Amino acid sequence: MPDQQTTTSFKYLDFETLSRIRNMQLLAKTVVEGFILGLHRSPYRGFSVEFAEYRAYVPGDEIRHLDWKLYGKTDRYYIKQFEEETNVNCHILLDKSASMGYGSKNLTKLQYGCYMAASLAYFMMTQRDATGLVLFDTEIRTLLPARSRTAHLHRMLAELENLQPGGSTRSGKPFHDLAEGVKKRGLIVLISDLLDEPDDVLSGLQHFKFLGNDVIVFHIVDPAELEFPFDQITEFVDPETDERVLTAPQSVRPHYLSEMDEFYGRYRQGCADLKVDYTLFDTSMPLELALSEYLFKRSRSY
Amino acid sequence: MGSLDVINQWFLVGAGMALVPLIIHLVQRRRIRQVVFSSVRFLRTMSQRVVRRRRLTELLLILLRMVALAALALAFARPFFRERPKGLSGDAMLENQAALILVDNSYSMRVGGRLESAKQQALELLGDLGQGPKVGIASFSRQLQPLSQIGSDPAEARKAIQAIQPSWRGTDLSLVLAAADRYLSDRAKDRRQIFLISDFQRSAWDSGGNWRLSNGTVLSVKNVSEKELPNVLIERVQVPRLIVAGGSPQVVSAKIVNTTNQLIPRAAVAFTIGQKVVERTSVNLRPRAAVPVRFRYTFKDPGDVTGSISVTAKDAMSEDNVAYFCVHVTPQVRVLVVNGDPARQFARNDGFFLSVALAAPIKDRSGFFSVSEVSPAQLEAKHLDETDAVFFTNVAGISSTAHQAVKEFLERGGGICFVCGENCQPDRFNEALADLAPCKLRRKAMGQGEQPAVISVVDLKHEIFVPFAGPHTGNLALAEFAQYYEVERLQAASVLARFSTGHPALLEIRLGKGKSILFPSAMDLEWNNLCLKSVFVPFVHQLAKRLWAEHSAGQRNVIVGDKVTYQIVHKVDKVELQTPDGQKAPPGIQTGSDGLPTVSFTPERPGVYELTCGQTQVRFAANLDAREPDLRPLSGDDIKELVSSVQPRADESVKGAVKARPVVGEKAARERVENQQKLWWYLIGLVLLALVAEMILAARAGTS
Repeated sequence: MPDQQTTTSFKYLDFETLSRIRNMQLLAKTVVEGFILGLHRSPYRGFSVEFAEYRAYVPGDEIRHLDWKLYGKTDRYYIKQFEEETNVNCHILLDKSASMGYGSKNLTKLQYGCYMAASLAYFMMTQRDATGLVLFDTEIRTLLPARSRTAHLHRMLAELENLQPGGSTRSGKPFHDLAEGVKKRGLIVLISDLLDEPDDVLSGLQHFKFLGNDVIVFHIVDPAELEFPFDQITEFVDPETDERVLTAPQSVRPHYLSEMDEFYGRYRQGCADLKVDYTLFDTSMPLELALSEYLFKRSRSY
Repeated sequence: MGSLDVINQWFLVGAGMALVPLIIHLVQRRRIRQVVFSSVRFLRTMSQRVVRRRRLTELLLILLRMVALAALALAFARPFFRERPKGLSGDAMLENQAALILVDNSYSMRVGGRLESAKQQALELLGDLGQGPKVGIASFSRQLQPLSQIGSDPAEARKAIQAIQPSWRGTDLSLVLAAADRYLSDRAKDRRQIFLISDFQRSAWDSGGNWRLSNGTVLSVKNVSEKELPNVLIERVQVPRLIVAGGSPQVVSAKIVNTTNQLIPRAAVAFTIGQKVVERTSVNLRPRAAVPVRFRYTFKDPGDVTGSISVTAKDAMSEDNVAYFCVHVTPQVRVLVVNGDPARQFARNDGFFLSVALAAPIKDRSGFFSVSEVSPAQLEAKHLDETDAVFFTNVAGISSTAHQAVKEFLERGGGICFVCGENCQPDRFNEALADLAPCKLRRKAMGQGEQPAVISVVDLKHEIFVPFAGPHTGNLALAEFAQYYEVERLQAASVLARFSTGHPALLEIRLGKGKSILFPSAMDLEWNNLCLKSVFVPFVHQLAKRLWAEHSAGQRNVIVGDKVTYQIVHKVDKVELQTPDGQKAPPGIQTGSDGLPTVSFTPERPGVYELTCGQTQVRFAANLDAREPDLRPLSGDDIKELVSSVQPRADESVKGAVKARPVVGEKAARERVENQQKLWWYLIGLVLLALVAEMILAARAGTS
């Protein structure tokens, strides 16, 4: 199992280290290169259309990759290897709503999402995929179309570097708007806490799927959202609506956890129904898992 | 429901701890933290209900904790209901209580700081009783002297105790307890108690027969006499009742009592007249014995003569080593004979024999008596004003004016004697004079058979017959009575002698301050031969002396604390009293119906009091109560017996309106009530219940 291999061989970078890296590019490079170093004998190398090198034919290689001209000159069988040049357009959709600004520890969900998006973008660029970045809350706030140039990567990383949370989450409209705007089918990577109406979100995802896109959903949650570890009577303030709820956490925890489980379940089930890859990330999980997830999806579909 | 009270008030301060949970809650409430959370959509629905329930739970917890703390503090304060609440058993509710604290301030309390000790005990008792019972204060000697009314302010009661001064009076516990019982009688429905603080002299207790305190009254005693103190004292001086100036030497005697256990040899005794010691002697005072001393003295001049007898001894109290006396030396006893049958034949003339007998000269001087004679018709009030004794001889009746005058004469203390002869017809006598006599006449009587009657029974202890008590001092039985009157004796009259027939031969009765004597036979030779016997003269003298009007001299030897009255015969402008310490003060004066003033005063210390009424000086000798200097105390068992002898009987108490229960002090009463109610048990139970409920609720709410 490729993902199992990668997962077990990763040398995870802790977020303490990452958080000290201010430059998003350097951060993405650190993450991705660390990730790549873990890929021994990567089966995913060599899908580019640009020539890379020759190697001796071994039984089992596809005959279509034999260089017949070289056979004519040398009378030996050589397999021609190419640097893969993608034709996949990847769009990273990052939720920048205020709820993404929550973090129970030093790392907010948005920071985590930014790291994840930057790492993905960097990694995609190394794979010669055209990568675009969409920042949204109730609407699309930033739209960087998919490009495969390095300058485009820098621009994306700069956007992520300066990103501040704000606004409510209304995923339906920006998803539909984006789906209408994407002409070429490709890969849609959604990074969000999905604190929206599941029907709206799933409707948007369905729209992407309908247009032939592959969709990966990275559901970002804070560990506190999963465990609800509060014990004293606390007044909780919603960062998007400024709504305040005074409650006794210990009393509402079972109900809250049940609600959250149901909430996640709806996404999990909805995504499964739409054949959308859904992964729940809490911000304590290593970013490499996201790259691995992407790589798995990429290799499977393209 | 009665009002709530507590034993330990200071623990109520601890009830303030009940506020601690509330304060903590309020402080914590101000510190409710705010957390910006990603979304409150999953908290919204449950929170309001949960918070409401949580708040209610917290309030309940706070309430339970406050209740637990408050109940704990209250339990330690030991609360109780002052009145019996419904459903609560026990009879120890605080009742109305009246306590009378009696402090002995008699003469014996002067010794050894007894009075100070008694006052201290009274103050301590007052403190112990506190605000519970209504307390009254009284000092006592032979009389009760209320100092502070029952229910008066404790500060006033305290002042009253502190102001108690020792007196010179004697002690009579029986009288005092009876007076205290009467004093408490208007508190019949209250719980009553008398606290008697005294040195409990043996001489002060006279059980008084079957007398007991009223039902519901409890007697408690406190004894301040630590031990028996040695004392030497002079009991009352004995002086002759009648002394005629220039007569034979009179005996003044006294009894010296040694209550110590040691012999006092050759104790010096001095006999003083006025300020001058006229005779000295010495006596050996044996331990716990009395020694009489006698002094003979001739009172030459008429008037009031004062003196004293004193003994020198080292003992506990020196004030009782001297006893004072006062004698009134009269020039002569003035006798008026109202002769109802002045017959020329002296054998039938009672007045003749009587006058001769009274006027007989004694030795080398004129007789004691000056005799004047009037007929019944001549008798007027003025005759009585100048008379010490009156004899009615063979008188059947007198005028109404004279009757009234005789009556007033008796009221003033005069003495009259009826000698009944032929003229005294019973009907007439009974109608005219019976109210002045000790009896009514019934009929003439004779001896038995042919034998005349004789005087066969005589009260030889009576003043009249004392001279005839010894051998060879005259025999009244030698006189033969052929006739006499049978009499109907009044209940109040006493029979001093009887005939051999059993009929009274001499009767006496007190009428007013005076006395009336009736001799139911004659003093001439018609009915008897008494006048021929040798006992006749002394008998008549004794009768006259007995009749001697004490009002002319009055009682001059008094006891400290007894009220002294003296009636002034003539109108005077100025009346002044000089006390033994030389101070002069106006005595109390009351004017009688006759317009003549009566002077009264109460001697408060022993010594000679001199009353000046115009030109007349009257003296009085005041002495300590003869029993008071005897410092021998009652034993503990005797005191217990004293208490039990006056305490109401148990069965009487049950039948009484109020059960006899001792008064208890405020603190003790409160503790007793609290002990019976045991409210603190319920409070501790409440604490436990509250804590258990708190624990359960806290566990369910997930807080502690």
